[in-house]
Amino acid sequence: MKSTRAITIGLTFVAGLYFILDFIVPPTFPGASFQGVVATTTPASMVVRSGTLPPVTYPFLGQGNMRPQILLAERDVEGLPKLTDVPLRQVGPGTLATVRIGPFAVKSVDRAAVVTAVGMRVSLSPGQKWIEGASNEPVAVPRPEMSLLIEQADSRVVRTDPGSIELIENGKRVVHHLGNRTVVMKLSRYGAGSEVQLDEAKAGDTIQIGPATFFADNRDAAAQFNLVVTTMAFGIGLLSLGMVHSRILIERRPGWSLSVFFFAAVILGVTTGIGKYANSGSQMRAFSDFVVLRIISSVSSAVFSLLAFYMAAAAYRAFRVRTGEAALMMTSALIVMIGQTPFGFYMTSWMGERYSALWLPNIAAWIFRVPNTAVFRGLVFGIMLGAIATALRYWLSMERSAS
Amino acid sequence: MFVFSCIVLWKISVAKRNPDKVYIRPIAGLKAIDEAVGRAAELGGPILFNPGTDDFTNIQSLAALGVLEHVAKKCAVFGIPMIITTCKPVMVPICEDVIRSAFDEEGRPELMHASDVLFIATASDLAALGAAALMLDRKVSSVFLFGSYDYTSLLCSEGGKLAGCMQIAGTADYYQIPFFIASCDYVVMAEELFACASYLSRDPVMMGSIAGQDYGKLILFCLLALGVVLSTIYGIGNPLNGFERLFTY
Repeated sequence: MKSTRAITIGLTFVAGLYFILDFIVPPTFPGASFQGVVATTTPASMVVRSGTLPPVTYPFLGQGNMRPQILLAERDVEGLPKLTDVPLRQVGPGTLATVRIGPFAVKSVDRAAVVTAVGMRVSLSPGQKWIEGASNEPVAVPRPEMSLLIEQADSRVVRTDPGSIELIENGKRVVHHLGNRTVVMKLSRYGAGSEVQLDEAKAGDTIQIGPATFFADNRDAAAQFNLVVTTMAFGIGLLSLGMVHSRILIERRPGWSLSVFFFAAVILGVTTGIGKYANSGSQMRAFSDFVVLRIISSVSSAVFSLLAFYMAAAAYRAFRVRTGEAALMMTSALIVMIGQTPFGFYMTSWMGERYSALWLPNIAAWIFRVPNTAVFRGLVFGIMLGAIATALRYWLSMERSAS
Repeated sequence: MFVFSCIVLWKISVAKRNPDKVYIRPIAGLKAIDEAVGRAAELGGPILFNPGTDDFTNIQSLAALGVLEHVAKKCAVFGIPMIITTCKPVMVPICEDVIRSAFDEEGRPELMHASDVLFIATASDLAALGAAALMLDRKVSSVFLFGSYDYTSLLCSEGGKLAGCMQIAGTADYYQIPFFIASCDYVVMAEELFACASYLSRDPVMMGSIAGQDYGKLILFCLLALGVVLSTIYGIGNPLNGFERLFTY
């Protein structure tokens, strides 16, 4: 028992340490991350050599199929060889890689390069294999009007240049030379950023650049592990419920008829879930759509609509003015509620522009902007510190319920 | 965060050496737990505990488990039946384990049943309505709503109000706190939720972490005050304001 607990404590600590070192430390280390609007970029490039042939430079300039793919040879779960597409930062001098560009449409050909339909020049070199995109057959010489795939297999990386990016930070232009382990994240207005390659960062994009970590490229595997554990827990919960309800049914305990509903609901749920992935137009799919769109969706809407009435009932009970604080709360609630309606505007707009600060909508906005935000931020500070302290206790196995 | 963690660990070591030196102010909601359990013992009805609408990956759910353990121990002592409702299947075995340990510790393992933990539905609104229906159906005496809640908090708590239960809620979701205040008898707000387990157990290690948390708040407050003064003097965006540059990136 003691050794089991020791193993659990050790695993918990290691897992927490990985999370801190991989997710928290790199972006928060001062000077490690930079954010700004892209002004210009200098594209990344990679120089590879096949055997004793001259080295070939591949600039990372294009979009989509024109962008060189770096493929590393790996083995899949059955031990069969496969090629895996990796970003530039995962290769370094000495790496054995296959480089692939295309397929793309050829506009014209000269001795040293082909010109694509969009005017890009792609160098030709002796170490490359030229493949017709349509038939997948190798060709001796590229020709105009063909779909071409260029592949340079089993070549050693001589050097990589991650490129550089000029960001506008706080009104100043700053050039950052990217390192081999730098991650470029494109930030969106609405959500978290997504990793992009340097050539995908366009002028005007908001970019954050920062260090990658050792485990950064294995986050998908960690997320899948989490999914597996959650699914297992789902199964355990379902099994537990099945055992409980089957015992109730067998022993005919009071309320056993409800246990029948449980099993019926499980069968219905499983059938609906399977039907979701059935072919469109099939009966299973139609059944699944009916259950989700006609029954569950309607019931959820009805439940959500209950909230309006519950809110009115709770507010009627809660807004009793017995103390000074309650009176203050009631007054501010009235101002905010009425101030957000057109009636609130009409009530006070007669004062004129000179006294616009006393208009109900403006007072309501001030209440939201100043005291409400101050309290909100204070709560958030306290919550975050409390959450960190609690997480620290769980990480170090000091929490009593964790034992 | 590193500095804050060091402060917390330091206060934990201080608390281990001098457990009587750490003081946590009384929290009304937690003091009322005994009152709620006593009410359930008198009325003979079960206690309903809802650990929130999220699973164990949410720190609030983990904090709620600390309260669940304490309430389960009280129920074991007085022989009060418990109902735990959840909308996350993964919380079912976790809650079962917590209450089983609590009942075992009080020497009443026979009072614990696996059927005490009910997974109602994955949808939080349906789970809330199911919990409300249970409160009415089984004549629940006291309700504990601790953890992370979404918009369904009011569905749960109004159901308890309609059933005439004594309700104690605790959440750190700022948008749900007003709803709980309107419909529950006692509310444990925001950071108090994370102090629950420490307050209830009086464990020196856990109380030390709360003290460390307060030191962290003090440091944060000092940094805020310094930032306000310097921003007032230099203005926002002034390159001379090195303090602002330190916290901007």
